[in-house]
Parts: sequence; structure tokens; C-alpha cells
Amino acid sequence: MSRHALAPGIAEVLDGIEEASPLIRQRAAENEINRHLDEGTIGALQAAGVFRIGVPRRFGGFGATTREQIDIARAVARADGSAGWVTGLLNSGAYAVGWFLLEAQQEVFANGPDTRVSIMLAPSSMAAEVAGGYRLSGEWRYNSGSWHSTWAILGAPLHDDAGRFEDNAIVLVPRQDLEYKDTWHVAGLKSTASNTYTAHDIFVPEHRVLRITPALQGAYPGVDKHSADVHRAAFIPELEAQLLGAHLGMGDTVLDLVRDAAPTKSIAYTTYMCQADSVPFQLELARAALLLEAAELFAYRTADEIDDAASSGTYLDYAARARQRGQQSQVVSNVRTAVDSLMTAHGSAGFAESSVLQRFWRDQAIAARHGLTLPDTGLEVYGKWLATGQEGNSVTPLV
Amino acid sequence: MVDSNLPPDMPSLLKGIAELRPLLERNAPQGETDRRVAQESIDALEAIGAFRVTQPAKYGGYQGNSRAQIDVGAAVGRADGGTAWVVALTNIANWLTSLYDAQAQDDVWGQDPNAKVSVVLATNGRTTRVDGGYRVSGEWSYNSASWHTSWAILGAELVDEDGNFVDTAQLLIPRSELEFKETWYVAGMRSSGSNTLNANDVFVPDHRVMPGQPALLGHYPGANDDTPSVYRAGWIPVLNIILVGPQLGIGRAVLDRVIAKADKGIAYTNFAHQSDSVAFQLDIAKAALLLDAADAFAFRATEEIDRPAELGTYPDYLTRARNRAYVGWIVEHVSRAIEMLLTAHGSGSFAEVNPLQRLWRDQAVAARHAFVLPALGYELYGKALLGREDGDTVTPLV
Repeated sequence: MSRHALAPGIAEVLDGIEEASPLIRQRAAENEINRHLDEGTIGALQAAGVFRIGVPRRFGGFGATTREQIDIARAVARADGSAGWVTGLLNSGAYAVGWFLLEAQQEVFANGPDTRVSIMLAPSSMAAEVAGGYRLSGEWRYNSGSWHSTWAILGAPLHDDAGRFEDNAIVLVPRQDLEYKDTWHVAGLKSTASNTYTAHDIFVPEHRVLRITPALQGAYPGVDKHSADVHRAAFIPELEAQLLGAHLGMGDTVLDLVRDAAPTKSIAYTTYMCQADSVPFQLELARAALLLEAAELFAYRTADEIDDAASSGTYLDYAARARQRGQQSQVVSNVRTAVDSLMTAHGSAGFAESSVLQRFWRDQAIAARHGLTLPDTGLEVYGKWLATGQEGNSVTPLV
Repeated sequence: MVDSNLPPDMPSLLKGIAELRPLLERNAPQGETDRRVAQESIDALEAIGAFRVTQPAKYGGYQGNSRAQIDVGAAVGRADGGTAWVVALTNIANWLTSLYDAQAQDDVWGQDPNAKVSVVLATNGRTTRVDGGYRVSGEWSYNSASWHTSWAILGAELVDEDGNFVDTAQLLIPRSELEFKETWYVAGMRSSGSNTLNANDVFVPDHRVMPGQPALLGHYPGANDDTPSVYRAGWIPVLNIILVGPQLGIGRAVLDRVIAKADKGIAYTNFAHQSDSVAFQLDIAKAALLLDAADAFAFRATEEIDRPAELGTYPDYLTRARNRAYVGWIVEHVSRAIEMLLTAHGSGSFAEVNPLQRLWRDQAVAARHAFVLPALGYELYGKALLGREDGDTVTPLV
């Protein structure tokens, strides 16, 4: 699958995920009831090295490429959608730390490369400038992986000392500065514990602030000529790509389970003794497989484009970034369509609570509605560029 | 004559259901938790005759056709999927009951005109021929509405005195003679109570046996010169089409709710209101058109079922095969509309407190009912269009 050879260590991480998968699968149902991953699952993922994938090498991480990050989340999501989602998001958080000033990186990884950092871009807060930094108050929902994190990256609209809006930013905050509210009661991805953080007038020093406007142009406070190439990646494409691995993994498993059942499962109210003998079933399986393969092609194409640009020291231009938003949203909608039609092909038994299929179906459905990969936004950004040659900032600056 | 305590006709029954919508919506979360529709909802629907849509007028029912069944299923589906499924499945089982011998109908409704029946066609019953009837044993899962019914129609294979297979059949059995097992643990339609019934050597008299082969050709045991036309309609076509009623209602409920909340913003964009986004406007239009198309196909399908019944003709194979394809086509339209609408509405759709996620799960499970799966309907229709006569090798249920 991979046109690049895996970097040293990544293959071992993938092997470790494979070894941990029986445990992850076994815990998935109970984790869903408890609405967070159990310590056994987190421990097994950590032992496999999953959480240091995106961490810069100088702190003992793998400094993985975008493609490798997708592979890792995909492998975990094959065992459980929520575990794969948490993997993708925590790696996204740990990776993004590498964009902050070195001082911030040193603080976060002081306790080692397995430090877990959640990430939430929405600026649902207020940051007011004070000497040496900002005072921050706000509330952020949907912090996936927060149950297991000691740091949070949070969106913040910066205001100068005169109260004027300056720029949006993401800021790094230690968990102990935040209040935690258990609010994640959702129909799927239940064990991601995507709960709410609240900040009441906390101090955020300047070195833990990353401004969005320069970041959208590839200027990161922590990235200089000494930084590793992977941290020169384009801001939004990179963050969006890190959401895709979980979708691919969930799609893989749904296809595998439906295909594996086909030789022995009959079709109710028909004479077909097994689904595999039905031509309509064969067509549905083929269409779903092709949709998943197309999703994979788009995911890896965007990842390679991001990684190639980063390693050649160029920043993706607007046209490429707009196309990426379009392509990345297609990854998600392709997987959605494939999973849904595979559930139809398999039949009502897939919806029994005792079937893991219904959990994958719900998990992927919720993941597919993440704000950053919604197809309308991706299509409108790309379509506006194609149609007018104009940047789609009226829709969103996040391109 | 419709029972004098009930709304006098279908339009007034539909109006009554619309008035119950707030109550049915309010009870929906509890129904899901209990995995059983709230008794308050059942009582309120029973009081206006929502379970008597297909009951013969001689017992005070509406004697409704397939159109009436769909209208009622959809009207309840606008409030709640599980409740609609219970209503729709009860009404179809009551229609089936009305095809049996007059004595069987009297057995069910002679004492209690509100008696409800469940139905599972799967021919899981094993029989022995005895004097005056059959003895049957078997297990049937997915008896929707099982919490509220006092009779069950269950599929079986009939044998002669020597034990040789004769025909499939549907047996009408009082619930008091059946064992009940709670087995309905499913990701959606939780309140439909589609649990398991067991028969252990139960006697079924001949008048409560409906043989399968004649029924597939429109020959029902209860039919005589005075039989109302709705009880002459095509067997599988009626059984099949009525399953879309709840889904049509659920689709409308999702559209209504997404439109009602369209003033909210779109995450990670500058749109302060979804309704300001042209892309969102297109989603709404497409979803509405998908639902309109589903409605239009349902109208056409019911016309092709109810009209021949009125004229005393039986629809030919091509028409019946097309009807099965219509059902799959309708379900695909509704499923696509709902998926699009939830994407347009965004992740908030899936909060457990949001009825949208329940409507989504309910329709998704209904869409996988083995009888409505699109692939089978298309295969039957395609074979028939090509003039082939091998549809029966896939399923005789056309």
C-alpha cells in the first residue's frame, strides 16, 4: 500500500498495535458503556509506542510523517473506532505541540514522549493580553481523548490590551489549569470521552500561544531551520489529514466482517443459502470496496502531497490546500457511503447490539460529522477556487 | 361501520394522530429506554382507533387499503420511529387476520374489537397433521409490537398425515399458547419490542391456517362474494409496501427538525447561520426532493395495489415484482435523505438528547428489514423486465 518505506520503528509500532488488537476489541463494548477507554487499552497503545508517533524526535518521539500518522490511527481503528479516533486526535495534539516555541515543547514533553495532548481548534473563549501573555476564559466542547490527557490545545481569540481583536490562536494549557465536565453523551464514538474543558481567567504565557494567521501561511513559532521537515507541513491540511486514518480503519473492518460472513450467511426470505452466491451482494461488495479504495487513494495522496512539500521546504499554495480540503472531505463521505451500503448488504443482524458492526457503523457516522471534514465546506472551498480563482475566505479562513 | 367512539374516517384519524404528536414525541426516549412503547402512547393511539386501520367494518374498523396503512404509519413516524413501527406492524397483522376464515376473525375480535396481532412470515414452524388441524412447534424472532398483542401470525411448513411437505402457511395463534422471550436488543427501533415467540406442540385448528401458495395468487381462505375489496389486494405487495410508512414519516420528521434549526452556525466556517450557506440550501433541496420522490413512488405503488383490488383483478407478476423494487427504491431515497440531512445539520445531530439520532437509528434499522432490502427487489424486477421466469428461484415471495 505504502509507496514510501516505513521509517525505523514505525513497523514495530504497527506490530504492537496488531498484538494489542485482541485486547482492544475485547474491551470495546464495556468502554462504550463507561464512555472512555480503559487503562488496559491506553496502556497497550502506549506500550506499542502509539502516542509518541507525532512527537518530535528530539523528545524521544518518532516525528512521523502524515502518511505514517494515518497508518497508525487506521491500524488502531481496525480494532475499535473510538480507540482509533483517540489515537488520531492525541497524535494530532502531540504533533501540533512541535509547532509551538521550543520552551513550550520542553514543558509539555518534560515527562517523556508519551505525554498526551488533546486538541480543539474552536475559539469558544476570550483571551485578553496581559504582561507576558494572556488571561483566558472559555468553554470548549468535544475534546477527544481528554480523559487520558495532561495537556490541552484550545482555540482562543486573542485581544490586545485595548480590547481589540488581534488574531485567533491555539494555546497550550496544562490540564490542572482547567475544569473538566463530563458531557459526551452521543450516539457513537462513545468511548472517545470528547468532554468539555472550562477555563476561568487562567494565565497563558506568550510562549504557549500560536497565532493562526501566520500558521495558515506556514509560519510556526517553533519551526526554524533546525526543525525536522515534518513540522513544516501545511497547517489545516495536516490537522485534517490526521482525522482520516480512523475512517480508513473502520471501513477496513466493516468490509472484512461483511465479506467474512458472506460464505455462510443466508439471505432472509430468499432461496440464497449464502450471500456470497448473490450477484446483487457481489455488486454491493464491489462498490463498497471501490469506494474504500478511492478513499484510501485520496487520503494517501493528500498525505504524500503534504509530506513531499514539507520535506522540500515549500509551502502548499492555496490551490493545493483548497483541493486537499475537497479531497479529504471525500475520504470521509466515501467511507460513510461504503459503510452504510455494507450494512445493507449484511442485513439486519448487523444492528443487533451483540454485533460489533453496529458500533463501527455508529462510530464512523459520528466521526463523519466532524466539523473539519464536512463535505459542504470542503467542496465549497475547492469549488470557489476552481470556479473563480478566488480564495474562499468568505466561507472559512481554515484552508 | 367505524366504531362510533372513533373518528369517523381516515382524514379525521390522521388529524387525531397529528394532535397526539407532542405526546408521542415526549414518550419516545422512555420507550427506547424501556424497549417498549410507553403505555400512555399506546392507550392514546388505541383511543382514536390507530390500530384499527385495516380491521373489517363489521368489527368497527376503518377497513383501510394500503394507502391508508401508509398514511397512518407515516403520520405516527413523524413523531417516533418505534411507535410508528408498532402501529404499522399491528395494522398489517390485522389486515392479514382479515384474510382468514370468518371464524378465525371472530376468534380474534368477537370479544375484543381492540385485540392486536403480530406477524412473522418466516416459516420456522414444524407441523404434524392431526384431526381438525395441525400441531406446531417452532421459534420466531422479530415479533414487532409483541408487548401489546394478544394474537400472533407465524409462518410454518405444512405436512400431510405422512409427514410430507405440502405448502407453507401462516398460522393464527393466541398469545396465551405461546412462550415469550425478550430478545430485542438492537441499535435502533428499540421500542418496537420485536421479541421472540415460541410454540411447543400447539394445536392450530384448520380455520386458523392460511396456506401460502394460494395466498401468493390472491386466494385467501376468508374470501367470498361479500368480501370488501381491500381484502382482495395482492398479498406480498401489501405486506411489503406498508413497511415504508414509518420511514416516510421519519424522513419528514428529520427534514422538519433540520429546517427548524437552520439558524445555527456551521462549525469552522464563517457562516453564522446554516441557512445562509448555499451549499446547505442545496442539501435541504436535495433531501426534500428525495423524500418527495419517495412519497411519489409510494403513491404509485399503492395505486397499483389498491386499484386492482377495487376492480377485482389481481396484479400480474411484472407489476408485483416492480412493487418490490419500488419498496427498495423508496427506502434508498429515505436513507439517503436522512444521511444528507444529518451531515448538513452537523455533529449536534448525534447528541443523545437530540431526537435526530434516534430517528436516524430507527430508520436505519427499519431500512434493513429483510423484506425491504433493495437488492432483492431490483433483482426480481430486472429478471421480470427481461422476460425471464426465474424470479421464483430467488424468492417465491412476489
